[in-house]
Amino acid sequence: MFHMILFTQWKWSRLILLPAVLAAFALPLLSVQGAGDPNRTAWEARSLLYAVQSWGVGYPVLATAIALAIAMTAWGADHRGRHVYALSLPVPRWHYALQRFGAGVVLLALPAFALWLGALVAAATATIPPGLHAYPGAIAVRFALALGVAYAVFFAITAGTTRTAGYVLAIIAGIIVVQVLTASAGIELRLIPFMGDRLFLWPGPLEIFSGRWMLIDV
Amino acid sequence: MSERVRAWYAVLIALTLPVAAAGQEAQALERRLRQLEVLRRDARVTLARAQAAAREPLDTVRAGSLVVVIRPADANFVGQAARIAWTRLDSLYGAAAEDLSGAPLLFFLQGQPITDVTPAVAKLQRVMGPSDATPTDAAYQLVRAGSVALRLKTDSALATWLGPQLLHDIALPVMNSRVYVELVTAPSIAVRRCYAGALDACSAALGIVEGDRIPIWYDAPERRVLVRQLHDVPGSGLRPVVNACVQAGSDAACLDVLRALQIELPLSSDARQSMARLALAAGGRDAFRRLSRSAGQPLERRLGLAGGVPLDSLLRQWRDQVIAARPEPVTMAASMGWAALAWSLVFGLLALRSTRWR
Repeated sequence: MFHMILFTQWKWSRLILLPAVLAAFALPLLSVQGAGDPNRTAWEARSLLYAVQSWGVGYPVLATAIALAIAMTAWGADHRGRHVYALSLPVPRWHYALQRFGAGVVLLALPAFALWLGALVAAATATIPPGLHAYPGAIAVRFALALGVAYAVFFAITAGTTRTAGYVLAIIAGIIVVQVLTASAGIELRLIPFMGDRLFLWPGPLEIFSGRWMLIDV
Repeated sequence: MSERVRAWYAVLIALTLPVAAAGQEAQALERRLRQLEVLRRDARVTLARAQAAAREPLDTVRAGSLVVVIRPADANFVGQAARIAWTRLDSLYGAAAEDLSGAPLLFFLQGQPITDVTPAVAKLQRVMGPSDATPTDAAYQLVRAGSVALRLKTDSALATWLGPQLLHDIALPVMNSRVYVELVTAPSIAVRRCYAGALDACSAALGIVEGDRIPIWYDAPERRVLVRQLHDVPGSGLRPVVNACVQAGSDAACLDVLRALQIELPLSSDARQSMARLALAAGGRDAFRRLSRSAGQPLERRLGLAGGVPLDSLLRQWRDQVIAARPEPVTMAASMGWAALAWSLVFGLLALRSTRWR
């Protein structure tokens, strides 16, 4: 059954996966494209770090975009068919959802693997100045984990009812409204920074996305 | 009495009368002036009393040699801050921090300036803390003000070399990790040689050696790139020299441009302060005093004096510490990975327990 689910999800998402794999492969290569410029030899280390850091923003963005697309595709057909197919299967709901989740994780391995390959090629081809080191494995693992976290979040939201998604949106909107109202009333309530810290600092769920993503570092 | 004698008396009296009258007038004037002086003195005293009554009362808190003039209401709060600040100043500047006893600070909170003060108090260095400051925040400001006061006592050569205020808000290992990044990224042959282990190059990159340092800091290709990257060359006189450097590749021209522009040192003030802090730590409580009192001597000698060890030894220690402080690559940490896995699992389980089919 898992093979069938994986196959159908592959069919639904292959048009998304192809550009995702290409982007994941290209991103590390783009980040080191300025390395080895003979006109900038003396400044190479510094400019290389700046370039790598600038392109570093692309990794979490790409991971989020791919995970969102795959999570939505995983449940898309079920939502459109009002879950009749799933309900007709002789398996409990959790078992079916687990297989859908697993199939998505397997598909996400493709862009993660592509990024690792791209990072290896980038590290091998770029002229890295003394004192700097390439971390293709670490960045690929981080990208894979970011894909996993983002996919799990979006999968959980899309697996729920519209009402559940509404609740999630309402909580986010509520936080923003409370922050705006308290600020306009002159009450110092740092709700959004507080929530941001809980989400993006260890051990928050989105910590994997925060900080610098450096293919090449000291 | 004959008529003649009587006439003489009359003449004499007539002659002495104006003199006597004038003498009486001068005495009266003097008396009046004395009265006026008394009145003026009374008025001044009364005015001074009135001003003193209207002026805000001030208090003084002391921590070590740090003296802070404050509002009495802030005494407890600033007292705590002063103790924190003194500990920091004393641990960095050692015995030299005792000089702060001669430079009291005037502390007030933002939005509540102390304005109506005596001229003596008005001359004090003012330190403003945030209106909602904690003792730690106020200590932060006091440390800066104290550092400024101590910096004013040093010569300009040392102050220029040190750069911004010498503080230790940033832990030395953290500062050294920043310096490590500079060591591997600064576009300078001296810095790269320093990274490779050449102590003379470290000394040059830190700006400790004197004389013509540009040929030591940058090699010919670096000099040419450096000049090419200069966007605004002041003075039209330099433009032909810049062109000779960039277009004709004349290294002599590159050197002329860089010498004329007095470019920055290849390593930042973080590196120099890291070196200074190492020398102060090695030299004990009198280290900063020795450093600041050796004005006029070459910097390499001054640092050696401050540290109480030869400069080479200091440089070796500094470089070793910087190399040891290599920052961890930020790409991935194990705790981050485990947290991500755990959260993936949590959200995955939430998806399995969805209410859609219930």
